[in-house]
Amino acid sequence: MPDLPGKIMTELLQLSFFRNAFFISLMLAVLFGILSFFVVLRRMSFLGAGIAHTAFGGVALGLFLGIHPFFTAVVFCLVAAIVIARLTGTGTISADTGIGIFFSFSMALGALFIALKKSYSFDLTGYLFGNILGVEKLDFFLVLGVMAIFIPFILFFFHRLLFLSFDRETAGISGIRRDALETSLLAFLALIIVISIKIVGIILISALIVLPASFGNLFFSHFRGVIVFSVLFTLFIMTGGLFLSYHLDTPAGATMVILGTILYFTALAIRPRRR
Amino acid sequence: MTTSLTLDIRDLWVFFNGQPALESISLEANRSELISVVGPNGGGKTTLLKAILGLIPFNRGEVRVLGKPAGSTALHGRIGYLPQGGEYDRYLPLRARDVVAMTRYARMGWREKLVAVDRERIDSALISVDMKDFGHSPFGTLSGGQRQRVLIARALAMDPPMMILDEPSTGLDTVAQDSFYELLHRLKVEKGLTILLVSHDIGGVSSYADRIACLNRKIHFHGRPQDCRDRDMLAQVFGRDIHFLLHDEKCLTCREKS
Repeated sequence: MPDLPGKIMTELLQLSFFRNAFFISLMLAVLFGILSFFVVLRRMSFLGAGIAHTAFGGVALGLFLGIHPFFTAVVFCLVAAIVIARLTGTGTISADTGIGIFFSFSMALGALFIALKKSYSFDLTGYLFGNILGVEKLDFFLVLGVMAIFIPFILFFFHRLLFLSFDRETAGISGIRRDALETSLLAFLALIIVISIKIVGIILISALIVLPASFGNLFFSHFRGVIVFSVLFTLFIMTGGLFLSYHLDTPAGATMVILGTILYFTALAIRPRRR
Repeated sequence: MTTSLTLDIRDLWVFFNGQPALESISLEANRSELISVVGPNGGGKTTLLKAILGLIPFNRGEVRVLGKPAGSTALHGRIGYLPQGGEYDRYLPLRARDVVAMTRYARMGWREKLVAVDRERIDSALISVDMKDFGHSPFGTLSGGQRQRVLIARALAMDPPMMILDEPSTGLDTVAQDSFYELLHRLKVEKGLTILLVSHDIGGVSSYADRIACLNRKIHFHGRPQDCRDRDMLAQVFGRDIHFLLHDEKCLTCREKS
C-alpha cells in the first residue's frame, strides 16, 4: 500500500530543493494569478510567449560569458519587451510581426552562443522545460524580491491599469500616465517570466500567463472573482503539479501545464452558463 | 473675450508628410453649446479632435481649451471624452459602475480608494444618463446605446465643463441615435456643458446641434444647421458622400422647422 499523501508531503518538504521549489511555486502562483488577469484582458499572451522565448538568448549568453543567467535573461527580456512596445506603439510594425521576429532572433542568438561555447555540460532542457533540481536559495530570494515590488505596484495602480487596459486613449486624456504604467507592467511581465524559468521552463511559461485568468473568466463576470479564482487555480496547478511530478516521476513544469490545461477544459465543459 | 470661450481655435494648420490635413481652421465654442463637426471620412475630423486634445502637434495656429493651451496638463480630467465606438468583449470582467468609476480613480494619489464623494458622483452620473438600474450589469452584455450612455457617465463622473465625442452614433440604430442625441441636448442644458462631436452623418445630429461645421480639410460651412441648405456647398465638401450624409433627410425636416 502506498504511503499516505500527507506523509509523502512531509517527507518531500524535508528535501531542501523540493522545499525551495514548493515555496517558490506558492509565490509564483500569486504573481501569475494576478499578472494573467492583465495579460488576458490586454490580449498580451503572444507578447508573453515572445518575451519568454527571448529569455533563451539571455540565458545562453549568461552561460557563454560565465555570468548568472538570471541577469542576462532579465536584460534580454526587458529590452525585448520595451523595444517591441515602442515599435508597435508608434505603429512602425504590428505587434504580431515585432514579437515574431524578436523571439526567433533571440532564440537564434541563444543557439549561436551555445554552439560557440562548445560545451554541453549545462542542462539545456532544464531551461527550456524547467528543472526543479536546479533551484537554488538565490531563486527563492529573487522571487521574494519581485513579489515585494509587484504586489504594492498592483495595490497602488490596479484601477488605473484597468482603465488603461480598457480604453487607453481616454485613460491618457483623463490624466493617467500611460507610458510609465505600461512600461512598468511590461517590466513585471519580463521579470516574472525570468524568475519562473527554472520551475516552469521557457517554452511552458506562456501557459501560466494565459490559463489562470482564462479559467477565472469562465466563472466570473467581475474582476474580483476572476482574480481570486485565477490565483487559486494557479496555486492548485503549481503545487499539485509539483507533488504529482514527484509522484509520477515526470518534469514539474510540464505536469503543471498539463494539469492546468485539463482543468481548464474540464471547467469549460461543465461550467454553468454565464449571462 | 477669450476667457468666456470654452474652445477657441484660430488659424489651425496640421500637415502630414508635407500635405495639409487641416487648413486654417477657426472654431469657437461657448458654454451650453452643442457643436457638430461633420465631414467625410479622411476629411480631418479625427485630426481636429486630436489637436484639441493635445495628442498631436500642429504646425500653425492656436488652440485654447478652457483658456489653456491644448495638451496642457491642467486640462487632464477637464475634458470628458467618448472614443469612437470600439468592439468590446462580451465577457469583459467589468460592471457598468466599474467603467464609470475609472475617471474617479484616474487622478488619485498612491491610495486608490473610492470615498463617499466618489460614489455619489458615480451614482449621479449613472442617473444623468438614465442607467441607474444597470450599474451592476456586466458592461459587455449591454446594448450599443447603453454602452454609449455608460461611457458618457464615465466622462460626467469627473464633472468636466467640456465633452468631446468621436463618432458617437456609429453602431446605433436610428431610435437609439435619437435618444442619445436627446440625452446630449439635456446634459448641455442642465449642466451647461460645451459638447463638441464629430460625425460623418449630417442627418441625425442636425436637429440637436446648435451649430454645424462642415469639415473637409477646411471648414466649408459654419453656422446653424437650418442654414445648412446649400446643396452645392454640401456636394463640394462631401462629394459622392452627400447622398449617404443626407440619407434620412433629417436636414430637410430641420429646414422646414426653420
